[in-house]
Parts: sequence; C-alpha cells; structure tokens
Amino acid sequence: MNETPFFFPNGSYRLFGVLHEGKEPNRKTGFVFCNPFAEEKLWGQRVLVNFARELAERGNPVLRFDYMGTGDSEGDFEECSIETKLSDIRCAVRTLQEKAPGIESIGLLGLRFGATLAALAACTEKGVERLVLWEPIISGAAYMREMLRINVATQGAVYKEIRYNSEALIRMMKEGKTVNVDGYEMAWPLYSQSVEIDLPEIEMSCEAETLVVQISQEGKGMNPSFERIRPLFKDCSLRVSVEDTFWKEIPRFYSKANSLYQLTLDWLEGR
Amino acid sequence: MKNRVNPVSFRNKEGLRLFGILHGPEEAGKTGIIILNPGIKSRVGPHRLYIRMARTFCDLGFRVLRFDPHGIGDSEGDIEEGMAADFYGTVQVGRFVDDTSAAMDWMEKEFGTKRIILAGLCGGAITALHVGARDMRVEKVIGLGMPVSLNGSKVDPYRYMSRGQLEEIRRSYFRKLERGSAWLRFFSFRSDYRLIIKSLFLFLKDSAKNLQRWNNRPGQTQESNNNLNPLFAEVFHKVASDRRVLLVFSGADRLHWEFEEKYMQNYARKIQEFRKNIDIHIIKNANHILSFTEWQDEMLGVAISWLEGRYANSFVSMPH
Repeated sequence: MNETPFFFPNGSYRLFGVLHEGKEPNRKTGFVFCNPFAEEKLWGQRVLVNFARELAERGNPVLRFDYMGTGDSEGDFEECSIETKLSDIRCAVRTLQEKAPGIESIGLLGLRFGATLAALAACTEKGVERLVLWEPIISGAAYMREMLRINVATQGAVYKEIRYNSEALIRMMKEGKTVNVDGYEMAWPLYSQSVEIDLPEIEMSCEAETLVVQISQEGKGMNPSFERIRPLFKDCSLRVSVEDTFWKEIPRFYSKANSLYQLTLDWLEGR
Repeated sequence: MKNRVNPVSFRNKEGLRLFGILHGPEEAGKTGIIILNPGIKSRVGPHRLYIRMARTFCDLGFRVLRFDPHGIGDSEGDIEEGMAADFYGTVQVGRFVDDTSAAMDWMEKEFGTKRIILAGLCGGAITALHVGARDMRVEKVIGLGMPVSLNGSKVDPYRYMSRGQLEEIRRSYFRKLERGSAWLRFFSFRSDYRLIIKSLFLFLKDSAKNLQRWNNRPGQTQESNNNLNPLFAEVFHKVASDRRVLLVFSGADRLHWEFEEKYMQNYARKIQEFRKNIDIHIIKNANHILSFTEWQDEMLGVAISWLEGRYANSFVSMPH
C-alpha cells in the first residue's frame, strides 16, 4: 500500500491530502472522501482512514483531504463557507484524476455534513458516478441550530449564565463577528449558506448511483427524512447500518466500523 | 515571517510509518519543538489548537513538528483497546514514548536538532514527561491540562516502562531488603506487588508468559488502588529536577484540582527541591480543550513569554 501525504493548490491556498493506493490499483473508480464538520472529523477520522485503506487494498485509489481552514489545510476556519468547501471537493476530484490517471470515474464518499456536501458536489460535478452518503445531514438549518446550542451550552458551563442566546449569536455573525462552536470560529458565510441547505428541496438531480446509509442502534427503523431525499438521485439505495455514533466522543474506541464497511463494500461490488 | 509547512513521515521502532507536519521558519534555532497529540485526536489537536501553537512557535524561530503516533490520525498501526478510557490509560503510562523518541531521532537526523521542547495537551503533556524522564535531549516541557490520574480499568501501569527503569526499581527493592520498615510494608499489604514481581521477573526467561498470566488474572482492576498514576511523581520529579516545566491548567477543568489534590498536596516537600524549575499558570474559567479564543490567546501569550525567558516564576505564589 502506498500512502502519500501532500499539499495541493486550490487558488490562493493549499489543501492537505493523503492519497491511498493499493499495490495494484486496478479498479476504474477512484474515491474522494468528504470529511464531516469541525470536531466530528477528528472523532471519525480513524474510521475514514481505515476504510480508505480497505478500498485502496481492493484496487480503488482514494484521496482524503482537509477543506480549507480545517485539519492540516491552509487558512482559518472562519474563512470557509459552503462555496469554498464545494470548490475544495471539486479541486480534490481534479487532483485525484491527475494523481491516479488510470481511473475512469469518480466516487464521492462523505460522512455526516461531508455526505451532504458530497451530494451537492455530485449534482454539479461531471464524472461522479458513485456516491456514498454515511448518515448525511438532511437539513442544514437544523444542524446549525445544534451547532449554536454547543456555544450556548459552553456559555452556561463557563459563565453559569447564558449571555447570548441563539438569536443573538446569529445577529453577531451577521454583523461580521464569529461564533465559537467547540473551538471553531464560525462566520456568517458558512452559517448562512449552511442553513440554506435542505436536501429534499434542492432543485437539482444527481446522476450518480447513490448509497445512503443510516447509522443507528439496533432495531431502529429507517429515518423518514432519508426517504425524502431519494428523489434527488436517479438511482438510490437506502440501507441501515448498526454502529455507534463514532463521529462523537463515545466510550468505545472506534477505529473501524466493520458492519458499515461491509455494507458499503457489498453495495459497491454489486454495482 | 513566511514559514514553510510540509508533510513528513518516519518510522517508529516497530517499523510503522508515522505521518506528521513540519513547520519550518526561514531561520530555525538549534532547539526544536514537538507537539504531542492529546489522545484519540490527531496531530491537529482539538479545534486545530496545535496548528495555532505550531504557527506561533514557528514565528518565534522554532522548527516545529506535529505528528500522529501509531494507530492515530493518518499513521499506520492499530489500537487494540476497545474502550477509550483503557486507551487513555495506556497513554498515561507511556504508550507513545517510543514514537516520540522516533520523532526526536528524525529531527536530529534531518536537521541536527539535539535539543527538543516537548509540548502537548492532556495525553500529550503526560507523554512529554515520560519521554523527558528517559531522554536528556528534552530541554523543556510545556504541559497543558496535565493529567495525574490513571484512566481505564485494564491498564498495566508498568507496561511501557523501559528495561532500564525496571532494573533500577529491582535494585531499589534489593537495597530495601535490609530495612525492617520495608518488610513491615510488604507484609501489611501496602507494597506494590505487581511492580515488585514485574521488576524481579525481568531477567527470567519465561517472564513474558508469567507476566501475561499475572496481568490477565481475573478480577484485576486499577480501582483496587486510588487512581493516581503511579508513574506520575517519578517522571515529573525526574524532569523537573533539572529542566524547566511550564504547566498551564484550565480553571474549569478537573485536571487542575486533581493536580493540586492528588499530587501537590502529597508531594509538597519534594516539590520544594525543584520549585524554581516549575511554572504554573491557570486560565480562569477555561475548559479542558481551551475552546474559546481568548483562552487560547492567554495560553499562547504565556507560552511565548516562557519560551523567551520573560515569564516570572509563578510557583512561589502557588497555594500548597
């Protein structure tokens, strides 16, 4: 297995990525992995790294990368927006095509908000033929409410009072300030563009063969909101995988998600 | 100042490839800084705290390396522990010492860097002490949220001890044989039998099998003791006795109180021997990961002045 860490340019800044290639990269599809939001990336990183290795061993080149202002990429978090993240995904796709010239098609795999971004990118990026969405965020507005609640909860823990409620925090961002979410300084462009995302209402269609995986505890039925995004995709399979919420801090040490891996590999093999 | 940032990789003792990022100033000094990952999280640290630290230290003229130890982030290897607490426990007793030594070897080989400052949050801080206790290339330690307790229920605190450490412990036990108080302690069940056995078994050919049986015996838990890391005082004293240590604690973090109650109160007299080498700064209200920017700014301000030798020794005024 070859693993090559490198920086690659996207306009005025450099993105960090790791290219995973098996000894015999004989598959026609190369994958770009789209990371989840902020701290979720750090908790879930090892699951993504090990799945990249799994795919690479099977012959699919994989590029994992950090969006601008996240991970090891250049820039600061407050500078990023949905626009910059989608631009980064497109840049990563081009970079993978250059680095692994043998591939004929691209697959995007995303976790959580990364899955949402992968879906948006797949609707506009030519050559994306496979799309794997692990527990995608369906409503950007609901997700951003959760993020603001993290700030409010931190205020309560630190100051023993709520100095700025969610509405005040939104106002602050609108006025050009940033709001701290788990240590990340979020600015208005990222917030305002995120709340606009509502996957079932998007007026686009995606040609890629798509797998949507709900990650949940045993015995949980399919989340109806995942059913609602099915029409967005021309060919969409919905599956449930029993795993812990490995993108959060949980008691288990989660470096592999074997049932999720198997389900995804089975779907890819069946295509 | 324009700094160069590049990906690097090197191999640890087991031959596993470890990945890192090197921040190089235009003109680097003779001392380098390695920032050690906090635990499960990778070389960027929580909310990219380590990127801010690396950029800041690099602007001061230090060559800075951030890397992922085995089984973490991008690096090769696996973590066999199924529970996060058990994994944290292994970090607290030195799981990543050899990887850090490999990083120091790499810095020395590539740039001739013979003096290293180790910095890290939580698991990174305790790793820095373990490495410093064994390796005199460690010039200073910056510990953020230094843990003194031992997490997990399946942690063998002596698992990552070097052969030299175990030899020294074995010799100290032999020296104690003539003392009646040592025997009294032994027969009143206050001795650390596990450590005695491990150090004495070291040279027996079948020691590995015996130890494994001993460590895995049913019902063995760390809770049988209090959860103060049994190695903490030893490594802390070893480093602080002849090198400078900056400890930054978050005011709202239990680790600050644990340090005071579990360590300082029990070792008050010992600490007096090297108090001039210890600086302690507490960031009011801050949480463990320093999530608010003003807390990060305060920590970086303290670290800068400490590295530049401008930080007034704060330990004298600490409550004991």
